[in-house]
Amino acid sequence: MNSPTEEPTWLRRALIAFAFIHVALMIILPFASVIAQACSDGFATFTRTFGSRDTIHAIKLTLLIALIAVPLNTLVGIAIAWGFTHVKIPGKRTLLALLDLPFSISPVVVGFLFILLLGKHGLFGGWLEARGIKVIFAFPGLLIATLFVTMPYIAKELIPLMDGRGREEEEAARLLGAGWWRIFWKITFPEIKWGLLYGIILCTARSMGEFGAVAIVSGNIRGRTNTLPLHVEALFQDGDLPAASAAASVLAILGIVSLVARTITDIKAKAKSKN
Amino acid sequence: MAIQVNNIHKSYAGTKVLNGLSLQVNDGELIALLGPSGCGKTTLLRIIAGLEQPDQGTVLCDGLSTDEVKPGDRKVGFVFQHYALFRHLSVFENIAFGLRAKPRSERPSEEEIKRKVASLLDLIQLDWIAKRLPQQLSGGQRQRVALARVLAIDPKYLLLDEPFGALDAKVRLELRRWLRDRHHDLGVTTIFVTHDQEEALDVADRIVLVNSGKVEQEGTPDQLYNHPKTPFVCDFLGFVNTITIQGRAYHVRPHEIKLSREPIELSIQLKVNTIRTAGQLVQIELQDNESKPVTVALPHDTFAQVNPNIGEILYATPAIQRTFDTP
Repeated sequence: MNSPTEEPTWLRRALIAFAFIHVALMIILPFASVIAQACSDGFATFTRTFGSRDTIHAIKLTLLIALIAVPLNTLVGIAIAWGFTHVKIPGKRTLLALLDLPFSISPVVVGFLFILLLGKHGLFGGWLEARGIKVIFAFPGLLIATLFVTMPYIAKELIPLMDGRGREEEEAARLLGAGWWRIFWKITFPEIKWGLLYGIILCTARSMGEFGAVAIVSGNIRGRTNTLPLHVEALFQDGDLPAASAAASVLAILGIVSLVARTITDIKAKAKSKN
Repeated sequence: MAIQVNNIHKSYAGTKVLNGLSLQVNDGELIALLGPSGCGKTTLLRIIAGLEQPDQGTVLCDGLSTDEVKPGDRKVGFVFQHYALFRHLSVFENIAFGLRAKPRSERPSEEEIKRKVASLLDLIQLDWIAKRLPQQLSGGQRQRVALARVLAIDPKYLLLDEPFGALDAKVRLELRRWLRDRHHDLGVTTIFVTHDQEEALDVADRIVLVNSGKVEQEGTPDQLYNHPKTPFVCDFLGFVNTITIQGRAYHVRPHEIKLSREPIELSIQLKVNTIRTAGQLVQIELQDNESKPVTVALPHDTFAQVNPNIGEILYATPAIQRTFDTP
């Protein structure tokens, strides 16, 4: 017997089946086809793709950007979250909405904004050019675009955690004579660490996978400003589907790794907030 | 003078919480800040601790303004209503926190920390829970750990925010007596916030009754209970009847009313409704001719002398002529 608040059995089964088929068609099938395509002639495609200088450079560039952007955004994210939850700021709601901007506007527009600001004919373009600093179509541009689109992840994770519990504990620690570093390290950090890790994983995944904003500011110079996602696109445009698939499979595997890591930290964070 | 609070004003989002409140606390005193919820007593305690800044007015601790000395350097032991124990740290580490947080030059050795924490655990009679986490403790245990944690820094002042508010009645009674005895031993100047008048009357040397952000009356429990200056004080410190005789309102507690069968001077006629003899005093519920209830409490022997019956009309007269009306 079904309880009065439950849907009829046939409807529940149909909905569950629909969900499974949808996931299989929309996620698993394309994912499997990328791997299958990449492996179509054994390891030959992989050796060819990853033996190429351009691919290696794209991977290195992607890792370097992540290596700079993620730690920087971690510090900035902690600082933003701390400020939002510990300092009285007028217009907090508006600022918090602004923090969502990198999520809510199209990455292509973000890239375009930076061209308008920092490009040759941009607002600061002349100033930069006079000093021989090349930002657009160069590494700094890629880094800035990535920093911008990945900026909110960590702060958004931390704000609810810092806002919720533990404020009185921080006050108690302060009155017991603890300095700010001891308060952060002993009281605040244990409270936020799983959320922070979760945010870092999201931030890493996005910074490695970012396409739109980076595509605009990169100028697609192979072996120089192409990150891995852009390299996949370039190989695809060449009509070299197996090589594009091989390069894409690296990103796909990165995606799976971050998904697993996210799931684990999410479970840990939930277990933490329960007790 | 240990703590001197001068003319404090504080508002939150346009609502006045403290309205020119002043207060003096002597060295070694145990003071109860008593008042209804929302009267501003917790805000006052947080201002004294340095956790909040007043909009106007000053707080001096041993002559030093709270602006000059950082909260952490003032040796204030603050016990939060919900204890605020460090939930990631064991009971031992919670109590040791203040010792480890001292500047390097004053920080005791690991041996000394162990000894001090052990002696505090002994004081709160919980030496067997040193390794537990706060969430594994009962409310009463948490409260005692919170107290041990602040005692570790040898506080000059103890500030307790509704220290027994979240505990059940029996533990509350035990713990407040325990606190009074510890205060007697340690002699630390202590202010505790409560909305429970019984708690204040039972524990405090002096009570400061706060109402609408101001001191309504301060004094010993006896002064406030037996000589209230306003109807509010009278009403807040225990049940009180208001009976009107010859146009004047008398505020009398149940045990301050005499009953008799004969008409006497300054009395009103009351009809007996119910009699409850189970208790330290006999509780008699009566009503006047407008059906307004009056409660009278008599010792059993006095009750036996009068021996009223239900439905009977008696004469009631205030034993203490407490009135706030200007004649």
